[in-house]
Amino acid sequence: MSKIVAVVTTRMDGVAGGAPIFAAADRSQAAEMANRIEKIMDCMVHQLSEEVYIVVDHSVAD
Amino acid sequence: MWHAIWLHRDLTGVAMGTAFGVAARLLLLRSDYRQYPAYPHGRIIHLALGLIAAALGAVAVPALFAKNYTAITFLALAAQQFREVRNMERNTLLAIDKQELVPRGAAYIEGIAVVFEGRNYLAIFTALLTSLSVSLEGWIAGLAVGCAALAVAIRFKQGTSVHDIAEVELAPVHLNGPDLRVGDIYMMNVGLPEDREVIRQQGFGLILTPRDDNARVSIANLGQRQAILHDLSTRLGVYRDTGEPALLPMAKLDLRTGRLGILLLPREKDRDKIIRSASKVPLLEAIVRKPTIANRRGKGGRSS
Repeated sequence: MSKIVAVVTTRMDGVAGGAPIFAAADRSQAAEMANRIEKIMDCMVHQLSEEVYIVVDHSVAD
Repeated sequence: MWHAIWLHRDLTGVAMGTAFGVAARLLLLRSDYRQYPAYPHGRIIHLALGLIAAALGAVAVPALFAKNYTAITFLALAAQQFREVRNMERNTLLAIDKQELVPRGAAYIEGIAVVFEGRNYLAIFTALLTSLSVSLEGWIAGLAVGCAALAVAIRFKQGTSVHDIAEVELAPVHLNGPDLRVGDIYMMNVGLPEDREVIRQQGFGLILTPRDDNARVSIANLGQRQAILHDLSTRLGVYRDTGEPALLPMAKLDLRTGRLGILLLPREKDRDKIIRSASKVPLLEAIVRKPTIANRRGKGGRSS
């Protein structure tokens, strides 16, 4: 099973839980932050909705 | 000296058997686009082992004619040795596989390892048959049987490929928000606009349509899918690096129809070459299933 390593969002009231949550001021900043986390963690970014990005480590599945 | 060799039938048998056995191994040892075995040292290892295999096969016949039955135990020893070859190849490939941008996958590696072992046995059989014919009928018969054995060995070299079980066609890559599709097959969720742009520019879609129900099962196998991705990435190049987890060639099944959607990020963008490369990906021996034979009533189902 893959693992969520981070959540990036512009709507803090829409997310909660165990992974680190990063608050972004707007959508473009959210995309930028998600991009940086992707490069740093070598984990893939997925988009759940316009406001929420999750960074997922798929290598855990192996 | 040559005169003496032709007169001495055992020696002729061993010499011709060994020669044909090595020739068989040489013919089956291809270093092609996969560059495996790596030229030249990998080839030397396998030629040396091929020579040993051929010599063992060739010597067994005169030894048996001389009622030296312990000679057969040497063949058993050889079999043990060639199982080692299989282990060696497997270990090497597994170690390398961790460093590949698009890994071969365990099934492909197992397939390659099995082929290396099997080809040594083909060298033994060729040598054995040639040597036997020389001992029984003379060198002309040995020559004929040796050539025939080589022909059979070459026939064994050609395995089946994806083209035999599936129709390969190009399909457009669609991006609808984060959802990435090849044709109508859902592939994955791509979150970042940058990654979507790269995939839009570099991505190529392929759809493999299985030709029958047997093919549907074979093509669904994860090992075969990984082999297809690895082979295509080797032949066409791959737009990928570490730290770019979204740029991943992948294959997903359309569960409803059994078709396989493939997303590629090739460096080579010639459409004909892409289709040809996908068609020629070898079909792994270990994954081929024939469920329709098992389910058929009558002797076909029973015998399998």
